[in-house]
Amino acid sequence: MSIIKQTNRTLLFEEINPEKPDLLTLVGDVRGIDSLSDEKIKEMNEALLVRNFDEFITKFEPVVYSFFNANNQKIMYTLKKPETITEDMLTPIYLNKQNDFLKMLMSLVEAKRSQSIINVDFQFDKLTDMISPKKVMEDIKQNRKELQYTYKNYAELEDGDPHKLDIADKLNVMFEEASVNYNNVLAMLPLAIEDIKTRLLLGEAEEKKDNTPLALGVLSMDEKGELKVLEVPKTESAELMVVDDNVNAGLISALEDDYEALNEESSDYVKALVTRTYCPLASTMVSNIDIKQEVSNYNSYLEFYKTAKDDFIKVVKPLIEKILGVWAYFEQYPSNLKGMRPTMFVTNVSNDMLVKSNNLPRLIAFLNTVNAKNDFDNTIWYGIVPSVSLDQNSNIKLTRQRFKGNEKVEKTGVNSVEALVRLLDVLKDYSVQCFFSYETGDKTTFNYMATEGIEKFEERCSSLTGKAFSEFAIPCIPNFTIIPKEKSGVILDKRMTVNENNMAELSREKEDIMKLWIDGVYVGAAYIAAGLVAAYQCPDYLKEKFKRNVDEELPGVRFDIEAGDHPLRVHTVMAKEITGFTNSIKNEINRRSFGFVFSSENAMLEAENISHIMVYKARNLMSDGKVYEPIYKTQVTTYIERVLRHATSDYKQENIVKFFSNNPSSQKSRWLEKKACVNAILGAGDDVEYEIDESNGYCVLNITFNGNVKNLEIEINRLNSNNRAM
Amino acid sequence: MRMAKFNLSHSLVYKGIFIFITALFYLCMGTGIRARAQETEEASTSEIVVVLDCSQSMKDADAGYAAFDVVKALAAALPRDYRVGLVAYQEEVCAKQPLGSSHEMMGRALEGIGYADYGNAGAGLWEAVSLLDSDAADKRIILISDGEIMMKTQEGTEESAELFDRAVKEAAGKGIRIDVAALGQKLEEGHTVYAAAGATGGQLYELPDGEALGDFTQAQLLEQCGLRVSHVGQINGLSGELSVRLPDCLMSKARLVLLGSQQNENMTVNCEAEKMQVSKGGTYTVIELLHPASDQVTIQMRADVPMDVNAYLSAEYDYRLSADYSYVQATQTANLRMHITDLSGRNMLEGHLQDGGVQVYLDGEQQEYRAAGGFFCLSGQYEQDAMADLRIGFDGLYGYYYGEPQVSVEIAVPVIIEEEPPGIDWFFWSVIIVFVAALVIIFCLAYRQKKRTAGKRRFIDESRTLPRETQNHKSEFNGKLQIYVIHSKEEIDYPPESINLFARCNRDIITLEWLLDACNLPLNLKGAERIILKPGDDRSLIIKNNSKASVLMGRELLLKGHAYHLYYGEKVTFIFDPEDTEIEVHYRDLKPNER
Repeated sequence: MSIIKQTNRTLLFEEINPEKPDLLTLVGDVRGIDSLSDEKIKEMNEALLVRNFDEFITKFEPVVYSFFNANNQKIMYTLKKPETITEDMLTPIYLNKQNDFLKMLMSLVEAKRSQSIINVDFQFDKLTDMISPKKVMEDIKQNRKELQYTYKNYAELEDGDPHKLDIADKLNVMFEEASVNYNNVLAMLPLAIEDIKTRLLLGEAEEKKDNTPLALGVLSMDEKGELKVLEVPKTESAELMVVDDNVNAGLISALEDDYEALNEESSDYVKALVTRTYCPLASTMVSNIDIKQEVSNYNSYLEFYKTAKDDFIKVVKPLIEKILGVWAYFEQYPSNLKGMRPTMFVTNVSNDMLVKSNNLPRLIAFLNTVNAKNDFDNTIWYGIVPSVSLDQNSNIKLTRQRFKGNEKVEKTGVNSVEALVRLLDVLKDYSVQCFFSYETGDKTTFNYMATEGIEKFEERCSSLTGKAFSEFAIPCIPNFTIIPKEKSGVILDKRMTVNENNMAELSREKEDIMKLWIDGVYVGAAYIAAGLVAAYQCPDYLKEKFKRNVDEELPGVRFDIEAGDHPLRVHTVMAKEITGFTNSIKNEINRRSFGFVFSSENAMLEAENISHIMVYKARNLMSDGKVYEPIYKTQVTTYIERVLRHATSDYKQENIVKFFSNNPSSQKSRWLEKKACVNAILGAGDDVEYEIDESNGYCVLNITFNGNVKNLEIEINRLNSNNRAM
Repeated sequence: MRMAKFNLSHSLVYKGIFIFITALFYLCMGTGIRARAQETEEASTSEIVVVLDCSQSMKDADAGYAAFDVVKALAAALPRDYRVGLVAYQEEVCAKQPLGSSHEMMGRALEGIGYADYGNAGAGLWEAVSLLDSDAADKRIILISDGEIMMKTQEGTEESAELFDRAVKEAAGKGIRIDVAALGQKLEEGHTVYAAAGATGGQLYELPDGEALGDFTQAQLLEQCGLRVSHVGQINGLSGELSVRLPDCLMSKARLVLLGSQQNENMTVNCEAEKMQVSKGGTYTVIELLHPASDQVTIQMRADVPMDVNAYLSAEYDYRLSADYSYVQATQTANLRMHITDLSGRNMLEGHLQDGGVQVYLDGEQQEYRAAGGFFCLSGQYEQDAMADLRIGFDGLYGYYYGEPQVSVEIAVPVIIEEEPPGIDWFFWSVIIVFVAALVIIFCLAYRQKKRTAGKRRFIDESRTLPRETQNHKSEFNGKLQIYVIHSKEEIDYPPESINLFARCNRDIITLEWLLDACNLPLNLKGAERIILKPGDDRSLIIKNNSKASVLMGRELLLKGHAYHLYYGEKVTFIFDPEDTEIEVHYRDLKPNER
């Protein structure tokens, strides 16, 4: 550990924000150079290396651009900044923790995790309605309460009181947050929808509906002592519902000023809407309302909101899935630990671009700099390639579409197997283990795998087996479901109609329910697999899981997650999705031990139920003809090779002999001393021996893992140096 | 004619060298080889007597009788040059064991003794001092007591305290150090034993109770006695398995010392040895293996309460030294060989000593040596008969080595009849001078040439290297080439291609055109056939550009018509027709299993 301080830096092959710097741009021209300078690597780390999710959001600022198309009266969304549209016509929507859609998805994962309920029983609609106008309004109501309270405190203090300035600072922040809702019309829509609903449907009691229009009254007794509710005379007033008139009057004017300052072309309607939303007035309900006009507005707002949200979700979903993937990667490592925290280096360039013949030398130059030196601080150990294309067939339609079926939309951001092969071919030269997962959708979920098995995945991987790079290719299955396709409907609201009493009411017709379909949100298994493997590299993490027999110095490179109770102790933080795989599916998986397979099984560890998804198999694509090889073997081999290279000053023969000697102070003896530890480099039944092939100038290390021998050939530098000196 | 003369001079030179070597050989063979070992010296020993206070008051301080474990642990864990004895006292001395007693003897002596009666520390210490009546180099007494000297009567107490003081003075006179382990609260009044430590240069250890004696034992063994051990493992928890690999099987005795809190009723030891003995206590276990046959030892332990055990390995080696030499007359050097074996004649250099760490002294001075053929080899200059004293040292090595460290060899310098010095062979010397002059001229020329091309990449002067290469051309293609088309005329993205050169390319020379064809890259580059690649020394590839294309290696443009080496991990860029097509070729290593 003193030599190698980290064994879990991960290279994410994804494009997050094309406007931000990317690996290709930063590496630049590599004509004639094999590696990059230290300054360049520092610059790249500053731009592309992230240590947690918040840093990722801050550095890459994932964003969607929206603009209005007057021809079709629609809002258009795009992930790439349209170059022909001027800045002032574009509205960037930042996908950060405040974004309602992302917030909803993250709450969903956390709720599922805390409730430990499988997908079939989980009430997705309870959380998906977080993006409905009603929930947006509820959020605003909460903010409103805080805003009013703070403004009250502000107004009460005398001018010049230093505390007033503190409160003013707080108020500025709150206004800034509130202004997000009224500085663009789209954000105003849920406000307007709920506002109209509040005004028009005020008479609707909770239990049953009365068809008479509302008139406010007071309870009294007539001359005969009979109870009566008498109507109060209507007066047009601007009275406030809250007691302190002055306070709210001040707040209203502050909001109006702010709205006018932020919007050059302000409309009185929106201005009134903003003030109504943040400072409800008692008078609003008694104003003369053009009910028909308002109902028509309401319906068109709702329709527009639905279409806008629908289009937004369609465009943003691939990016959201990437962001959730990164979030899930970092979530695997507990935030309270301070050990070898996983770090992620994002290429931020599309893989089609990266694997072009003219760009690959840039990736090679980068890897040559960070992975082929005896400095291991920036070494990349893992790669993540999500969304590898699953379908190799063409989109030939064999049947006439009698019913509206799934549209075969060409998915953007899907990586071809060819691109993956090109990447693997480079990564194998630098011993980077590459976790890849197939494109997300309902064909790669736990549910699908539980019924269809793994044959399809194994078949798709057949072209990647038996190659030099197979050892470094780790297929991760199945993908994780955040919202299943069939439960992804969100009811926004119902249309409104005007009844015979000229009263507005919500339609009870089924077709008038405004519903939008998110169409399933998933996270690629590669993110979580890499996140978990990166997490268990940290000795502190293993210490937390195992409590004892963990060496505080050694990384978890030899940790076999399949062995014994290891999968029960070290599991993902994702909640179980299904009841489990059938025995026949598990037999199929075990027959050849294929892939990095997650399982959603019932399991107990010391009387404690495991309600999380665990690892069932952790294998790469190198096969001895019968079974695939566990991933830890590759990493131990890489680790030993790197430590050996460093300790023997680039494989000097005499130093190699010392390294492996039985002397208690040799590196091998020191490793063997810690054999009993969970994170021992050489565990029980392991050994490492060497043979020197004098004629070829090679040293062959025979690394024994529980009786199975793996060979590693290294070139000893005796021969070369002698010859070159001549 | 010139050629014939050259051959003649050669044969004369060879003849001279041959005679010289033969003479040296006979001189070496004729030298008598005699060696004798010196008389053995008595090894320096250390003696420790543990004095146990077994009075009634000790019951409060050490209810678990941990003090008994201290003496037993020392007897079991210390090597043979430590001799441990015991004196236990109550009203009188109640148990006594002479120096050199074993773990069993200590156990038997303490059997049936409990903490009772008064404590006559004077009698106990006096007995201990009288036990240490030898010339041992290091003599120590460890007194374990709650501190109080107390007899039934005041007079008795006074008498005991007086005897105690006398014993302390006697110990100081004899150079005996007294370490006092004082259990419980330190007593401020009455007659106490604490002063014994200060008066004899020993240490006073104040321990809260008997439970602290476990750590005290560990400190005594590892720090005070400086037990030469290597830390071989640790067990934390309720159960554990410890697998220890011995450095070799040449030792007479291997000793595994497990220290720390343990409850070792459930313990299994797997090993192969002539004899095995396990000595156990509450805070120690000593596993003694006599002549181990296998280097693997597995220990399994299980307990009801969590253990915290550290395992240490110590070993005792018995060795014999022998030495011989051969004498080289020409240099007047004796090549000495020292052989170290165990008592059954096995070469100890086959064990852990081969990793170095041994010091070899010749006539009292440390010498550089090399281990070869199972011997320590070194040399010394002798002009006349002499006695070479060889000595071996094991400082810094783990374990204990018993044997005679010194061996003497009688060097007999052979008397040879001095031959008439041959006359100066002018012809021989003139050939040598001409040869040296030629070398100097070539060197100067090469230096001038290098100076001229300084700052440029070194290319190969084919006029010189090519004939040699073709003459004994054994270089073959190695490695593989990875080809990246960076830019093509048609802007097509050709996938990277790789071509394995080793054993697949049976040509002597290949061209870039051939490479592109073999990789199915239909680029049709004008001049590619004039870019030549052939195998070079040290698995390099020699590149020679005879075309109009620009070839870059590193930041440097390669000169047309010159050959350059491309080594593993390097790359070369070919640029054709101003910026039309650009190809990057990376040269990579092929490991034996990839070939």
